[in-house]
Amino acid sequence: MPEKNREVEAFEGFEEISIDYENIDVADIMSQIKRKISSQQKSSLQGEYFDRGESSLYPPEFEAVGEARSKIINLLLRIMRPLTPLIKLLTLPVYQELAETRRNLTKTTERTQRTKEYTKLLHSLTHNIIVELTKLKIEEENLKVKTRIIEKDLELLQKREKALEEKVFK
Amino acid sequence: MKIAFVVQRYGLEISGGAELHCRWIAEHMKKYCDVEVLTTRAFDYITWKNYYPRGEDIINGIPVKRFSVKRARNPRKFGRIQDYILKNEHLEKDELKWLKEEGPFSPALLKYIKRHEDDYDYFIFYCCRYYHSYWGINTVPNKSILVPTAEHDPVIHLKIFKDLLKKPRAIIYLTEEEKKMINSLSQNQNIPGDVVGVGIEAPSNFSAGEFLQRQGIKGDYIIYVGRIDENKGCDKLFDYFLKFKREKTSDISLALVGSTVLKIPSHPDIFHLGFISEKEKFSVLDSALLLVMPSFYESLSIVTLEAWALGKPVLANARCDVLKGQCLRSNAGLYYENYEEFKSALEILLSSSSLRKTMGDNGRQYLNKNYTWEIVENKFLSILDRLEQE
Repeated sequence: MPEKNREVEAFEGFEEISIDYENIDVADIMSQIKRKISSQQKSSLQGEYFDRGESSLYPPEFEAVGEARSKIINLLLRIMRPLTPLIKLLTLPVYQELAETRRNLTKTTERTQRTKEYTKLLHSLTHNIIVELTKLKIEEENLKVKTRIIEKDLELLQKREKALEEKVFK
Repeated sequence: MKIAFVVQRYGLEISGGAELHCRWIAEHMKKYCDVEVLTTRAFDYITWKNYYPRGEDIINGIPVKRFSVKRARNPRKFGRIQDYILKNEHLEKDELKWLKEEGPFSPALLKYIKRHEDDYDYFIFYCCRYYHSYWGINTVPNKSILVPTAEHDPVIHLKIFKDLLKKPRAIIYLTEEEKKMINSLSQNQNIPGDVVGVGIEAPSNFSAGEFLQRQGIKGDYIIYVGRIDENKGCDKLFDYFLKFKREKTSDISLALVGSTVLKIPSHPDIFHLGFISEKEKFSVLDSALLLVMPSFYESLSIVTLEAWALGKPVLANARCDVLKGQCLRSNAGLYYENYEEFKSALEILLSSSSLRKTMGDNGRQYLNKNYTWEIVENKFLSILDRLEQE
């Protein structure tokens, strides 16, 4: 297709969507839209990840370099994963491996402990909320009863007022 | 050749898709053969209560025989039975009970068909899901042609319909998607049939200016034409449109044409024009930027074809196979499955007038290739010829 026939439209919040006006293909436009939406969603998810406090390893200008490097490292690690026990056996002395395992175990225990404490805290918080809500409910009931009594008193007073008026003006 | 069109309702005031299709086809076929319409006295499709006077009538030059509905539908009872058969194991007799309740229950119409079978060469039955079509086809299977107007409705999977769809001499489909669905459902590929659709002619010389001014619509708008109903996906359309307005700084309005059974949100950019005349409908459609069709169930969508006749693109619900298929075949509309897609597709269509124009032109071309009366009439005649030769 000659380039002059292809018009490229840019839409706010999207990457470019290219539409060939000479030969419109709805299926192609829709797949571009779907691709764009999924890439947007992915990037917004990534954004959320970083917003949670996970900072990037590299300043923005080195982001691309850092990304490429981390991709290569990840790839190498993935390739070498089946060989990890063998490498460890050959490179690390047994006592070092033991120490590493212990370190990992301590870390996991700490994490479990933290989660436990957090769960306890949540439990007591929920308990307190329930107690407070119960108190409020009882108080609300009391206030309702009081309101009803006041209403009755008011009614009675109105009746008395009427009766008195009738007596006075007769 | 004498042909009887057998349809649940018939009249100039009736705007249901299948009924309209029947009337248009009957009016065009009268050039080639004797045409008669056999129908009920019903006007309301919810209860089928007798409304029109009994006996014969002539509508646009076509004799119409009306038969009484013996028992009006009780919507609550019908709902209960339908719910039961869709959710439980059941027998064929339960399905027949459902069909009787579905109606329109007019034994007089069936009695007439049985008695006068020899007076007609063919009976063209409309809508496979109704009582008159099921028992009518069973009464005169060798002379019956069915226009199923089937949608992806759960009841189409009932056993009685699987058997019914194998009985007529021929089947006239409205779209490729309908044909595919019916073929896979009942394995009736051996029954002759064709995708015929309907002819569309847009009137010329109209102007919406004054009408729009009266309605208070200023600026650009998109339009929905049809019954404003949850079943037509209008609730979702309102949600999506209002969300779109919140997120985007767009001046676009939404105009709604048709009677409503749903509460329309009060928003300065949503206009309900109500039920309007054909000419007014075409004029507001012509002034709109695009037509939006949020419906889940459509067996043809005449209004989509009308929009293309006027060179307007369409934004359709992708969950409706027919609408999605039409958009893909014509390259004249985009579609959406969720809000994100709705937003993106609407944004693209609104921001590019050349895209709207090209898509509209595609729609017009698609219409001229498939949905002119000449093509539709020829397809009908070729089916009749084929049956005659058999």
